[in-house]
Amino acid sequence: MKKNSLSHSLVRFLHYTKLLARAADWLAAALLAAIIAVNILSIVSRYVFTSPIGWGEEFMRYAIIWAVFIAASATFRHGEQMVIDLIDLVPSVWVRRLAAFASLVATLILAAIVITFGFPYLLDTGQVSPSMRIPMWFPYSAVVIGYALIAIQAVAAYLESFIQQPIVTETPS
Amino acid sequence: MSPSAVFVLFFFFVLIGAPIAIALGITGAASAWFADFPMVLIPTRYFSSLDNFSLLAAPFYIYAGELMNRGGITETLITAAAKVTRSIRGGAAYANILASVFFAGISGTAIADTAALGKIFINGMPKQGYTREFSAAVTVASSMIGPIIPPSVIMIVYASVAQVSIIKLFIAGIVPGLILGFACAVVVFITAVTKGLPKGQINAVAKSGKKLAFESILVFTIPLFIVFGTLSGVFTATEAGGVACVYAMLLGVFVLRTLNGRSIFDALRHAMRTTSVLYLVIAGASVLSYVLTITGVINDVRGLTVLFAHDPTIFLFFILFVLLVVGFFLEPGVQVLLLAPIFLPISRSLGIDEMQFAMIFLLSGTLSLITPPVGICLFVAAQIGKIPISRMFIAILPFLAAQIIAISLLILLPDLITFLPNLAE
Repeated sequence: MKKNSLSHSLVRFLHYTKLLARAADWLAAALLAAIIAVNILSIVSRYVFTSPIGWGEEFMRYAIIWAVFIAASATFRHGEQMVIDLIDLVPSVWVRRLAAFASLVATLILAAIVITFGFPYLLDTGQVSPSMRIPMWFPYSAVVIGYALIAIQAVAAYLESFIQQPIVTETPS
Repeated sequence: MSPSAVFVLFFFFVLIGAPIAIALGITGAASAWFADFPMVLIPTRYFSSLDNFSLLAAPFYIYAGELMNRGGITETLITAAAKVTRSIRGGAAYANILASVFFAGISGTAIADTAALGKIFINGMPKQGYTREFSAAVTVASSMIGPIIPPSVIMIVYASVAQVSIIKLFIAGIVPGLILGFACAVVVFITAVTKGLPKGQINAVAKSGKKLAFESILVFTIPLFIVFGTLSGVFTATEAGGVACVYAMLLGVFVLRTLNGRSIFDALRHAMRTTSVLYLVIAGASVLSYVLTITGVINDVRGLTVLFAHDPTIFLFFILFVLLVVGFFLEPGVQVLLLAPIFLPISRSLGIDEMQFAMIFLLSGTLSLITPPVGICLFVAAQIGKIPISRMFIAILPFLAAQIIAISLLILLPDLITFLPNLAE
């Protein structure tokens, strides 16, 4: 009974994080579209209109950072990160499992470092950006929130790999 | 931590299959910790290394390449190349190389080149009588031209690391890219003479000569537009990338009529994920290289190098050798981020032309995409052609040798590289 409810919540966790990864994917794509549009707008405004837009470059710089960290969570979920997969040549399934676990731990430790030491940036210091005049915690928080999302999706991808290739196949009772 | 401990830690994480971005970041964090650095450095570097307007050119060119690939521009380029090399023995193999040269003018990465051209050539050439391995090897070897002929994502990364002009790098890449193509063609020629290669040709799309010519001209306008628009100061190299995206979109929707809202959005998602992977590696490497610089580890490495590098030519051959060896494991982007800052000052003190050093570094680094055991382009090609990877390693060897000879030639004759960028100035 207990095992069933555990596997049930696991399935739910994987389901919701999958939706989260998809939302991240779409949001990041929309941000890239906005960046391309602003890029064209700022070239056009320089030549066609008399006053070039001043906030264009700053918007693009911050938006790509947000887009990168949002999309990163989706790449971790889908196993699209750049890796060297020599470990797959090791015949022992337990060595591969151990390596996958160690790799997850490394990801979580780095995420913990970034979140812990980056947390002060999330506090409102009253500092604003030079041209858009937005509070600086907003662009800075992309890194911290991005790593939080990465941690969630890295865990989900790790758990999902167990469901896809179960090591212990249950004997039919 | 000592330099060797840093590298052992880094390679430990890489070899257990951790994402490169994580391996770089965690090694950087560990080095910072043991050097008693404030740990706030890590999130700060993550932000500041990516807060760079010129780097934004990378997602632009990645997206433009993605659009052109989905928009059927690849097929047009292949058919155009096939028309040129129609009647020669080994024609399809030459067409493969020529298509790579064309494709390089619109794409910024070798992997995109292998994947796009591979779909047609690796499965199409065997039907003409080529072996599968040879078909794949030609595709992979010539895809190296992709990041050398502009536009180029790796050059954008290099430009931001070395603080050199993107457009100057782009122009410097044109001649070396053509020489690489020529080197591949020589291997095909020798193979045709010694082993015999079929005639026959690949036809990706059936199009009238006129229509093909018209479309090819529209496609080739893109690289010319980027280079001349930037040189004349109409826009920056970064802005040009954004313009290329819009151009590719218009071309695909209105002229080729192959793109719709769905494929444009899919291309956006795909390009953004590719960008995200690249940017996280850049950020991770910046943490590590920052700590290494501050703790003086880089100076130690520099001290070692200067011992046997009093001569610019020997130094450049040394770079070729080091990157070839390092390239067995690390891809070109990581090499640029971690190793270029170490070798650049030596290159400058030896009076080597900035562009020559950049090209030798990038060419040698790009070899890592086609060398075993982890050459990513080899794996992409092996997957497309369902060829055992060990047979790919053997088939690629003659091409690898030809490319090493081509790079050696560029070391000995720097004018081949510096002529065009100097002319542009």
